[in-house]
This record gives sequence, structure tokens and C-alpha cells, in this order.
Amino acid sequence: MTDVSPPFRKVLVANRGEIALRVVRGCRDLGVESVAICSEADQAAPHVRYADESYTIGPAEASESYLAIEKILDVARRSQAEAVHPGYGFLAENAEFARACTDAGLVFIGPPPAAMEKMGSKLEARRTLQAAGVPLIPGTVEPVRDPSEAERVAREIGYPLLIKASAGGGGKGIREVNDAEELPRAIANAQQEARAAFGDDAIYVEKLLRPVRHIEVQLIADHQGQIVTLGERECSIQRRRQKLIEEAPAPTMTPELRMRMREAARKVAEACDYVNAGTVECLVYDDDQFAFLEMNTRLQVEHPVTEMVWRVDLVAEQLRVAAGQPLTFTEDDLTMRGWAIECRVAAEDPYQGFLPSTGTVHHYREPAGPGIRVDSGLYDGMIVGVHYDPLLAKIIARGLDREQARRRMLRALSEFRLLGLQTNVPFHIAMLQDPNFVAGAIDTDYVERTVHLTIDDRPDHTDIAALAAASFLQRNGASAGTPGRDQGGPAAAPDPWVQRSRGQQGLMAGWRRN
Amino acid sequence: MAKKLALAIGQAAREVEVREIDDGSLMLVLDGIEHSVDLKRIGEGPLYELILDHHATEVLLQREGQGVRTIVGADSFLVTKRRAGAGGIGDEEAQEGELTVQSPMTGVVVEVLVQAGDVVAKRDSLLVVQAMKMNNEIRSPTAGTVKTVHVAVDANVDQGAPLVTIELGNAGAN
Repeated sequence: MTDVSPPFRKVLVANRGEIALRVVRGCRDLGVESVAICSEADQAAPHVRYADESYTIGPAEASESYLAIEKILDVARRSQAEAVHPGYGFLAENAEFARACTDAGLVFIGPPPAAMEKMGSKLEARRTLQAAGVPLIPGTVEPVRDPSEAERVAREIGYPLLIKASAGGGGKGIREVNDAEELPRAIANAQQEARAAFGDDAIYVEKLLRPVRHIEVQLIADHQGQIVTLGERECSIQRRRQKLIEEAPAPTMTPELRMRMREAARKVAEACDYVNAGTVECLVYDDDQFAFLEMNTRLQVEHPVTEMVWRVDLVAEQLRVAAGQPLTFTEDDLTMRGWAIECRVAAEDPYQGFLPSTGTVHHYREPAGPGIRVDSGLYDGMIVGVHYDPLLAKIIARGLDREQARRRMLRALSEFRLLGLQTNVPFHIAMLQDPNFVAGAIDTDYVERTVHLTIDDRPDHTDIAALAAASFLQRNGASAGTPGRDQGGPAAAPDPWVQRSRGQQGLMAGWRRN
Repeated sequence: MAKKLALAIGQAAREVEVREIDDGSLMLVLDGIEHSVDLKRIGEGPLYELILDHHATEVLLQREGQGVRTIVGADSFLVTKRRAGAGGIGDEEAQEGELTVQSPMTGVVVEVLVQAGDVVAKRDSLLVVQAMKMNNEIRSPTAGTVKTVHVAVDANVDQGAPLVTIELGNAGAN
């Protein structure tokens, strides 16, 4: 039995959406009170509803709310919180914020600022890890300032290559270059994006390895010096370096490669004196070769798949470690069991190249049932705009093996109901049935070179709208506002993804791809 | 007794024949195909369970002006009754000689890659719009000649804002 004394009395959750709710729930599981912050746009959000206290700290713009360090620290003081959990995104990898928390007498639930800075600067990380003997992607370990310098490096390592922002992460500030002609514009663009996004335009050059798999190792370390690595997550199903589907374990992993990658992850943690939860992202190529990509010094979006197969609560461990308690397990205590897959449901239109979609959530019902976990920030009446990340919810399916997890995920996706807003759920349904995905034959370019859905696949709801409205008019007559006469009827297993009717095929024929 | 309803659904038109069935459900005929329909209101709001050919799905139905706001999945339609004998609403507008590319998102124009008079091929980059810190290349959906560039670098654009007008033509080839 693990220690049941709460690591803190009260924790402030400096985030929004599904991850804020995840942390609020983790706090309650430990008997820790939680304090939510929200912008004016999020006052009805579930993380606010389920926290013990909530404070509205500013308008929707993140710079005035979720990124406003002084306002957040003020709430911490007023609510007498002892610690701050940053979630992911926003201030999670901001060393200045971590230091400001410490200076205000608060515990920052994350790594030491020095470790964050060392790994946050991609170039410093490369230099540190080169010295520690961790395999790196070929490229520079010093900043590249102009096209001629980049050209010289390009001649050494060859095209295609990537221009990356040293301060970047999560796929931002990266430009792909296929030949010398493209180089100057790519450098200018990457520098501009890096300056806008990170306030630092230092860039460097890396060889673009392909095909590669994106496989990452979860770890967590305590102040007592124990580092536990929790196997790997396969995250190759991504688009423009934004992950869409993750799973644990990786379908192609061998025990030997897993051991080498866990060892490398441990070296990374040691090299930067890491404490708390972190992820070492790697590229795996030529079957059994891997190279360090970057370290994420925070809890990650896809942490639930690791929690499912290792049966741990990473948020709970984060809180305990931050309070100075030792981890509740050692590496030898844990074994991996079963399989877990996560689909990121985002406000993106898969029929139109994943363009951001906006609108009002008129009705939302989330899937449940055996093996399904949903971490979601959605609620009825929510207005999805452009102020925040398009991630709406995560569906996690667990099974005894990959096939059971996959089938459960397809069932869950078919139960996902959202009226009024286009999401990428149809993409997930298509991908989960893709023969290459089923076979595990995927790499990081797979989504982009495989067109799964086009505008022609978009279901035409005109006929259904006509029939629904005709029924409504028939029931309610001409007088406006008369409630409909309720009619009972059997509710068959529904499927919301309706294709255009063809000939005698029923209008409600479900979404099918093969 | 059958009743015919001529409906405008957004830009489209449909004719639906409605028959009451003895068990209280409806039989609707659309394009010569019969559909059994039952509509059950959920609670006191605009949410309904539409049981269409024995498959249930949630829809939103609400009076809006003279019509019915109908939301199915991600799609929202204003459905209105057309007067009998009124001219039909065409499913498609005649193809115009030009096409205006609209911003697919709210963001900031960070780069303009074409100017009036440029010949563009389908999928050529027109400009770059930054949204959520991501630079998004906007590509031409068609071959043609750039007639007007509506925005300049640093312009804030709303979703749907006109960006570039292209005169259709094969000059840009493929």
C-alpha cells in the first residue's frame, strides 16, 4: 500500500482544457485541493467546474490569461496554494515561470529550471548529450547564422535537411529543405517563425532522416536520485509534426532496442540532473538505429497510453516527487501489460487538409465502455475559436493486445458525438482501418503521403437535414415554437458519420472504408 | 394523407412527401425512396433523436425566422419552405470566370508570394497566413491568372476573408 498522506494541501493548476481537468482529477485522487484559473472564455469549462476553487484571470487572449505570470502568482497567493502544476504548453517549459514560482515560495511541479533551460535550448541539449554519449541526428551543435554557413553544412550531411529553431519544440519553427535553392527562404521563414513564437531566432541544421519512426521514452525521476524509465510510446502518426495517434508499446519494438533506448533516456536525465516527469523523444530508423530528437521537460499530451500499460498515475507521482517524496515504485516493481492507443480529437477538418475549424459545440456526448478513457475539455455550449490549441479531447483505448485496443478505439470513435463543429474523428476512423496502420507499417511521413480523406468524402447531410426538418415541420405545424410531440421508438446503435446515399443504400449507412 | 413539402436547404432544394403512419411515426419520400422517420425530442431543448430507417442519430432542430435551423453532425443548415410554384433554387451557381481564395482561418498574413498579373498553376503557393503560431501556405485551388491581391503582409484576416482573386484559365497549365 502506498503512502496516502497528501503531498500538498492545495495545488494551483496553471492551464486549461483537458490537461487542466486531468491535473484537477489527479489532485482529488490524492486528497489535494485544486485551484483552477480560467480566461473569460473558459468560465464554464469542466476544469473550472471540478476544481475546488476557481479564479477568472483575464480575457481569452492567452497573453492576458494563461501566460500572465503575475496574475497566476497573485491567484496562488490569494488562494494560499502551495504548489503550481503547469500542465503542457503555455508556461510548462518556461524556466522564468518556474523560477518565479520558487521565488514566490511555491513549489513548481516540474523539473528544475536549469534542466528545463538545458533541454529547452535544442543546441545546448545537443552539445550536452553529445558529451554524454547519446546518439544524435547528424547536424550542427552551434547556431547557423546565414545561408552560406548552412550551405557548407548541407554539403557535408546532404539534402534533404531541416532548419530548426533552437528554442523550438512541438514541431514549431521547423523548415524542410530539399535543395540549395530553397535554403535562403527556408532560413528566413524559420527565423521569423522562431522569433514570433519564441522570441529567439537562433536556428541550426539537422539531416532529415527518412523514413523514420517517432518513438519516445517516458521517464520520471525523484529528488532521492532514482530515475525510472517507463518504456516507449510510438507517435509516428503525425502531420506537420503534430501528433495525431500514439500508442504503447511500439508495434515494431524489440526487447533489445527498448533496452538501449531506455538506457539512453536515463543518460539524458542524468546529464541534465533531471527531476520529475519528462520524455526523451527519438527517431528510430534502419529498424534498430535511433537518435535523440528532443527532450520534453513536462507531462505530455500522450502520457495516458503509458499510464494504461504500466498502470501508474503519472500526475500523482509528479505531485509526490515535487513534494520531496520518493517515487512509489522502482523500475523492477513495474511490468508493462497490454496495449493502449490514443487518438487526439482536434477542431480540424480532415476533408480539407486539416484546416482549423471553429464553431459552437451544440451537443457533446463522449464514448465510454470497456477499456475506454476520455480526457476532454469539451462541454455543451463551448465556443471553439482560434485563441487556443485545437486539441479538444483525447480518447484512450486499452486492450489485452493491439488488435483489441484498436477495435475498442473504433467503437469509441463511432460513439463520439459532437454537433456543430467539424473534428478530425473521420480521419481517426479511416486511419485505424488503414491496412498499413493495422500492420504497424508506419513512419512519420505516412499521414502526409497518404490521402485518406478529401472533400469528396465529406458526408452530404442535405438529405438528412431535409427529412429531419420536414418531420419537425409536420410535428410542429406552422406555429413557431410549439414543442414537438414526443414519439417513442427503438434506438439502434448509432453511427454519426453518414455517407451520401447511393441508389437504394440506406441514408444512414455507416462510415465504411476498406 | 400525403403532403408535399418543397424545401430550401441552404443552397440546395429538396421535395419531401410526408405521410402519417398509424403507429404515430412518419413515412417520408425523398427522390422516390421511402424512409421511415420518427423524431423524439430529448428534454426541453432543441436536441432531437432522429430515428431514420431504424437508425438513431442526434440532430438539433430550432425555429429560426421563417425556417428551421437544422444541425446534423458538423453541418448547420437553415431549412425554409419554398412557395409552391416558385422558381427552383439551383444546386449550383453557374461557373464564374473568376475565383476568390478566402482565408481558411483567422490569422495574420506573413508573406505574399504573388501579385496581380502572375500566372499560377493549381497548388502554387499564393501566400502564407500565420495562425496559432503556425505558418500555413495557402495554395491556389485552380490554374489561372492573379487578378487582385486583397491583402498585404501584416494584415489581420478573419476566416473567410478574401485573399486573392484568380481569373480562371489554363494559362498556368496543369
